[in-house]
Amino acid sequence: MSDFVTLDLVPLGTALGSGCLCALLGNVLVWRRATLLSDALSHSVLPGLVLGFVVAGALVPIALVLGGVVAGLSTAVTVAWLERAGRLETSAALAATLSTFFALGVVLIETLGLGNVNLSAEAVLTGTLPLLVWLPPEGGSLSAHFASLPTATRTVLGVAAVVVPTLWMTRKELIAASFDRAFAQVAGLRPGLLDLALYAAVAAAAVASFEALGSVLVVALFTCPPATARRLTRDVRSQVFASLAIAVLVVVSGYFAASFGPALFGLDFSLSPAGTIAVLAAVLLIAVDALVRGRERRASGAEHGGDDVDTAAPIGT
Amino acid sequence: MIASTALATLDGASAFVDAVLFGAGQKARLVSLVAALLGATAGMVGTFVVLRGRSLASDALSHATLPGVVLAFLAAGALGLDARHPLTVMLGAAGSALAALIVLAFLRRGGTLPDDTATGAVLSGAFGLGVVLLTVVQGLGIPDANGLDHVLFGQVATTLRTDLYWIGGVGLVAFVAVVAFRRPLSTVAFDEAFAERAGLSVARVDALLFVLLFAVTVAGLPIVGAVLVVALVVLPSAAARFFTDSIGVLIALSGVFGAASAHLGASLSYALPDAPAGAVIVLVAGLFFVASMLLAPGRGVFARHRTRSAELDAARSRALVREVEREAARSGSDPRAAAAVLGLGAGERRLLERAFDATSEDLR
Repeated sequence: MSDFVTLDLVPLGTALGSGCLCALLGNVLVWRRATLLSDALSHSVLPGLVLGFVVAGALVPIALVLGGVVAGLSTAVTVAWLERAGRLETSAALAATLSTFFALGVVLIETLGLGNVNLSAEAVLTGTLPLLVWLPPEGGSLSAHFASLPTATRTVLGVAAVVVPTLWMTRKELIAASFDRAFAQVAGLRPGLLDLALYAAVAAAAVASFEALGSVLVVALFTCPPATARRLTRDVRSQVFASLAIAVLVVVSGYFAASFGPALFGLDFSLSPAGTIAVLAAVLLIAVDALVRGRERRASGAEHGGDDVDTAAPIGT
Repeated sequence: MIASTALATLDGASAFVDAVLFGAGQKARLVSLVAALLGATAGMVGTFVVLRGRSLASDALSHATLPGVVLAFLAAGALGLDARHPLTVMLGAAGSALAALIVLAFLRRGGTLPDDTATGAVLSGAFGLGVVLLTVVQGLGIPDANGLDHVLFGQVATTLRTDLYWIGGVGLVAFVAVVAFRRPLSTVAFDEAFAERAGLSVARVDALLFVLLFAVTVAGLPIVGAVLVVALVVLPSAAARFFTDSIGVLIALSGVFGAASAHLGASLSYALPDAPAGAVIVLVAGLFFVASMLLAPGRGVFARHRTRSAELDAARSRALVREVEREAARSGSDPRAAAAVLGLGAGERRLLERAFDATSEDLR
């Protein structure tokens, strides 16, 4: 039991926190068909992270998040500018920006010798979830417990504490601006300002999840649970709750598959949990999409079928 | 401490200069040549990838090479073949990129998932599989597994000579192919409907583009790495877009930018042995891109700013002249006296002076 607390509780909890945070924000990205923005931001926050680290002199969560948000907002501005003045379409503008920022971050990390603080270039890609061990203080206060948590865990909790209430308070504006931008403009909701807030939140969530899960695999959590939920639900509210449930499902099963999967085959090592979580999330999305598509086809086939079918089959049969 | 840092910097700088001038030894010369050839090919292929709007799809494909590379490594080891042979790496990479492309095409044909979602899912899912397989290799304790780490970010210094021949060979074939097929590729990139009417099969030309993209990705893998190889495809042509509208010039310029950034980057990575080669090369390509974006005549940030402020000045001076003329007509005084009555600021007075000068020149 205490082995579970020391070795598994914090990695699992951190992955769950990241997963839910990313999935929550991912819903807004899915509505806007902008999930690839999470790909761009999760890569391009890297130089900002390094900057935050250099300024603070250590892995201070606030410095990392602020650095990441600055880098994220510069990405958004650069991409918008490339689309307008550079006449590049979105995908090229995103790819150009993300790779330049990411390369800058990798070169900075390796030349400044930050490798000894869990910030190696490879860790940035694959995450360091299994390294988040936790030794709870003996009978300490709640704040002592919190302070003893690994940096990655505290970052996720801190970012979630800001982002989740903000999302809740701005939910109407966000939904309006995502589905009907012209209406939001006319209604004085200032969608441009909302966009910037959204980019900042995605960048902060990417930074928070980055150390644990790695930049590429974060994309799976931003994209797959909300997209899966969207295929399974019919309204915004149930989509958001379903995406959270799917994120929990994917994270928990991925984590345990990575820890105990090889043991089923008599192998005594564990897999990368970030990797298994990403694979599960993507496979679940593709499978659910195919199943729902098949059902929709059958339903519409019955509707437009032969003359003897006078009532459409209700969806779900 | 400072002295040793300065010395190290000096050493690094001279290593860089040597490598740029092809003077860092025979092996380094070969690396530079191969990198430049690859960069040129990637830049040219990238022109069409960007025009067809497939930049992020190609990002997904390059990430998707990872599981294939690791699987090929495991399979070759199990079959007693040379697991480190470039052909093993290339075939594995091409195989899994093709699998990812098929999944993407399947999702696209299904039509129920938006493109961005499908791309993101394939990119992160395939890469996640590769990361999991890497931990399998580590867990099984297979020797020489360390070489696989370089698949992520590439390396230059310890690339074997045979590897370089293979990379150069694939790069050369792709280079010849993109030059030979530039016309159909351009036609499809610019106007799909016209290409169809002209008897070109868009599907077939797209397939050719993907074959070329695979060749560049797979050949670039050992040097640039799976994560950033797409940058070598997208950045040069994105930079070239700021300079020209002509497709021929665009292709050539992308090739030049690609070759220059790969050569300079590979040379620089001799001076920065700690930094992964791929990241250094891409950073140089990124600098070319940023410099083009800022400095390109006509379309760069500065040029546009200058044009805009000139247009703004012209409009403001027209408005001022009209105001002054109205005042002059009302009071019956000459324009200069009328301008004094209006109580203009320094900037406005300067604009007005310039306008008066231009008018008097016109009169002469």
